[in-house]
Amino acid sequence: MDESAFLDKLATALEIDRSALGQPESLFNPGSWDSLAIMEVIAIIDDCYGITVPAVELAKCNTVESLLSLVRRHKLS
Amino acid sequence: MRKAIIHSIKSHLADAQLTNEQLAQEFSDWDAKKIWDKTGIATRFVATPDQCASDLGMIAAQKLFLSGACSATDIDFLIFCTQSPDYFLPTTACIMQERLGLSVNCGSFDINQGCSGYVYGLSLAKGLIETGSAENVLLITAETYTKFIHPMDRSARTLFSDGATATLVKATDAEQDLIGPFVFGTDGRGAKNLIVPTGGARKRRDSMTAIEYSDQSGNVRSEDNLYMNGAEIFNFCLQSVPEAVNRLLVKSALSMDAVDFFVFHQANKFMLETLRRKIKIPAEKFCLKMENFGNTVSSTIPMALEIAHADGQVKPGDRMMLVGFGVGYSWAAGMAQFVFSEVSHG
Repeated sequence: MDESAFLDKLATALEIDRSALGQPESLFNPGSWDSLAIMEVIAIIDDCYGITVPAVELAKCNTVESLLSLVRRHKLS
Repeated sequence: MRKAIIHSIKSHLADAQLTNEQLAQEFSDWDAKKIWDKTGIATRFVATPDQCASDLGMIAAQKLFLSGACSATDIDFLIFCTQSPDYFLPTTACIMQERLGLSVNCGSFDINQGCSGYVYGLSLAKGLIETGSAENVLLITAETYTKFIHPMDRSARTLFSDGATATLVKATDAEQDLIGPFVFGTDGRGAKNLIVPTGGARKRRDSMTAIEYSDQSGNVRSEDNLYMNGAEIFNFCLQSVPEAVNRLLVKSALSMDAVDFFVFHQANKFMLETLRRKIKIPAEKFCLKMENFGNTVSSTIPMALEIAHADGQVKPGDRMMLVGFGVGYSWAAGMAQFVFSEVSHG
């Protein structure tokens, strides 16, 4: 799955405007998400890339780029 | 050959109801539809202050006896599964023996398991019956988790519910296994992610442990309350449940297609739908029945079975896969043939 499609799903799940995720430096704030939002992101990553990322690592991501880096790192490992 | 069967199941829910509308009134930034969309739960049940797991379990067992499935004196072994026992000691099963009027020659013990408890209990009942130690095992699951939940912990309150089930597991003569095989799993690294930290011998309750704090999502609790890290538990489930399902299929020498119905622990709709898609289980073979009772921990699987039977989703002879997973971390999966005819919900 390409990253654009992944970000489409992410925006829908988090109920945020897709354009807000358009730039690599777009800010995330997983610390403010409730546990359901974090679970939804974990599920989308699992669905799109077939990997399970730890919630504690997800919570450290504060930009779209850092989230995508996390996914790439886990795909490689 | 001597084999164990699930003969009948009865259930009982705690007295007070808690609906999504009531929760939405308490937590103004949530609405009832959102709670429903995310959890798949419309209402859950809350034990009254004087209602314990044994009280709920007793009524479920009495319903079983009243149904004619068996009488109290037929029971020669009681397994009571709870994580909210009446006392540290004695074991609640001993109290239940007296209250239910079971024979003094009846064996009885508690098992302290949560969401995997029903599958564990079935495996123990099968072992007792098929080794000739018992004829009629009464397996009771009963839980009052809400007593541990802080009123301002909305993430836990939307999910958990109090209730009990009573299952009669009987000896019969059959050529093939009607319960089992089973696979199990344990990973104590997850113990901290679903826990009531105080109240046991490790850390007693005092004024310091009662100090309340808020987490980043605004949920309030103290160390005396249940703590749940939903995201980490979700991660654990995504990794362990598909693996357990595959292990059980291999052990059973069955393909996915050969399983007629899948009954997973009814944690919440989001988790179950994610697991169903990941494991590639057809929707029509997958049990989603927590709508009217919520997450009753070890009771969700037998409660879901009752409703699925009442709805005609499972028929006699159907081969079912039962999968429990959660607190511990602990998980268990087992096969069971649907043979019982006497089930009712209430």
